[in-house]
Amino acid sequence: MTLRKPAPETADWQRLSPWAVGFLFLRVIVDFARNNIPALAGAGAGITFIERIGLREIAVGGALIALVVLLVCLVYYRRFAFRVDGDTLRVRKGVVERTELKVRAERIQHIAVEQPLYLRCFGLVRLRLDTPGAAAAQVELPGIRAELAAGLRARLSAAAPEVATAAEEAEPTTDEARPLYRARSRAILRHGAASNYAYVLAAGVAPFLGEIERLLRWWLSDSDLAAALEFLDARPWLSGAAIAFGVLAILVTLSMAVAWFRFHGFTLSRTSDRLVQRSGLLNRHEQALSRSRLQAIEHVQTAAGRVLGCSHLICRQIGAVLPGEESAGRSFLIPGLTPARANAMIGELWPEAADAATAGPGERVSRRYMRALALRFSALGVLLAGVSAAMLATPEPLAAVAIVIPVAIAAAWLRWRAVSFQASGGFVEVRRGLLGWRSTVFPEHNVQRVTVRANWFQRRYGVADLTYTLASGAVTIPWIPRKRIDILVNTALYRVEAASPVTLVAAGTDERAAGT
Amino acid sequence: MASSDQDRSEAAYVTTFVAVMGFPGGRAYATLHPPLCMGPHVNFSNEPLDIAQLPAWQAVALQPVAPVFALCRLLATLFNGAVLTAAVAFAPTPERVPGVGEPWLIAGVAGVSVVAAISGWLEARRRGWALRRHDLIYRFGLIVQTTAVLPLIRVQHVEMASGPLERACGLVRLNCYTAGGAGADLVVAGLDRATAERVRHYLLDRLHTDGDSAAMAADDDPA
Repeated sequence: MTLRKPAPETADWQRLSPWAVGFLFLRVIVDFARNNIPALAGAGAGITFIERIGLREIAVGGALIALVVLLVCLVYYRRFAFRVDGDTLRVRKGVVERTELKVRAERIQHIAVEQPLYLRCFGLVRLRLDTPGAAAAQVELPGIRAELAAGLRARLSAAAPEVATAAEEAEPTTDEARPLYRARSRAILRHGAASNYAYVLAAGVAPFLGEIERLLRWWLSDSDLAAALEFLDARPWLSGAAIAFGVLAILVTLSMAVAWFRFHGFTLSRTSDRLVQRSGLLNRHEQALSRSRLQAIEHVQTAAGRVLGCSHLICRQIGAVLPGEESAGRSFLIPGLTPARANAMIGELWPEAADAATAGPGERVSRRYMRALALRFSALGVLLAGVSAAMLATPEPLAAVAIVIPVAIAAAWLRWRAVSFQASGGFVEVRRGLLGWRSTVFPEHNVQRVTVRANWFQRRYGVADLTYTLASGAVTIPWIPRKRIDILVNTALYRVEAASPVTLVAAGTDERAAGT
Repeated sequence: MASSDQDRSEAAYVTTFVAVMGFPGGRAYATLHPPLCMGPHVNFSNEPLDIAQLPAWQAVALQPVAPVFALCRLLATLFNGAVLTAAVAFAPTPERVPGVGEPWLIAGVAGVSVVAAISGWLEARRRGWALRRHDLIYRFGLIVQTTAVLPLIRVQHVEMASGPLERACGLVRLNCYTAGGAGADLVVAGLDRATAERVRHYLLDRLHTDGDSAAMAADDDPA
């Protein structure tokens, strides 16, 4: 079905697809279960101890709850309606409290269309709009027809009158999507191997390691492999290394599988103002990001990524996304790039930033930063060793100091080496990290606030920390000389003011006067 | 300097910036003449800057906050310290908790409170702020000194707030909110009510002017 274009006043209220009730029902159940795992586990354990509650009672209780949820979903579906009036999307919803949301197209910074497998059979998608502001500012249309979503998206995109930037003026304004990048399977697998999903999975698995070991032992002792178990028990270092290697191999494989499912068939294209990416094997994602609302681009190279020559970009918009949510689909992530390709991509998205992104290593911060870090890490290590010694009432933990101090110095050196910055052409690039590196490139005119912070030591040595706060989060350059900070602050303030409409008006007036 | 188009545009920007913004009503005049705004922007947005000519933020002399603010901080911290000390001294606990009611802990908490109050007093005396035509500067901190600069174009809305003690001292906090979330907001504490009102009026005036001219610029944008 294509979207009709009636006069704004006569545009009818549209409903979700009836299948959306089933989808809402499933989502409520899954979300509730996911958010209340401990409570549900506790309730389950409690029920098993109460003999009066048998399987039949549990089934009846579950059915009752499911019925209530289904009724609520039906009411939600009945009361959910949306329409597009000119450049405004209006959504009416609410079960107990009825709300009407109005979102103007020009306020939308990010449009995402998702099609999970269970919606694909019905030809439905989930449309989500992000506006600058809190999470409450998100609008979601769960379960509408794919053609309707495409029509809505096209209409809202067309209705958004973006203020033209210099880059757009220079190039012909066309709404035809121009392909920028297509991720090959090998690049996606490399992204999975290099990404930090493995660590996240490891953290999730860690509490169950003891249980897994117990199960493995039980299983091995019952089988013919009992001899192997004895062999391993006799060599704890070997068995430890084998287990660590095995767990890591499994996690990296899982991580590659996750990346494969998430980014399968990844394509990135660009219209005059929007960046559009499509990906996903089972759950198809389509995200569109307004280029003029792009606040910063992060170039991420994890530690493994630096070894494998693999990096990815994250496009930051207004409203900070928590680091944990980076891979959860909310952020605009471009995977499987090489570092050089990533820099070229930054140049594609912000031609003016090409210099800042590709100019090689930037300025280093003061070496005193390394000393301060080494001192801080060592002090922390020594304190921990001292506390452990005091609590265990043995002097043995103090021996760890001999290891802690070299490790602290090495970590401080790595951290100092990772930090660099450069400012050119109205853009700033700041890199930081430890083993992995993360560079943030942003135009100075996007700065919301500048903060200069110096403790007593830093003041003594004439250095300070400079923090640029953007609408997408803060970026700090530590321990740089005060004179350099003054130049950076003055330039940033100039750029912010020069990009403001009032100043543009003033400059325009003067140009006209000069022309006459 | 006017040997190239870029240099001329830069010079034009600087002279207009000073000339138009530098007299009363200049902003309103600028607002009424928007048509050529996008053209020069394209020319001058990406040029090398003469850094030496930029207004120097570091040269701005900060004004101290209201003198009574130091007393206010001292009293507030002492009050909090007294509550904490009383809690440590007289907290009724069902079982004996080590330390509660012991003289050494009471003396320790009281001592830390007094030190905190004195450092708060010293810190409050060193706070400073400055309002320039295009930004608001605020400095705070004693051992770790922080200076925040908020371009006024970034201010989304302004709020005045005061607690009971601040009201008794005639002080007001000025909260300037931006689109950057809590990290980018600026809270200017220690202004007397009259000064805070004047600053707020200036900020709101600036907010309206910028909003109007942005709208006009968008209307005139041929794209």
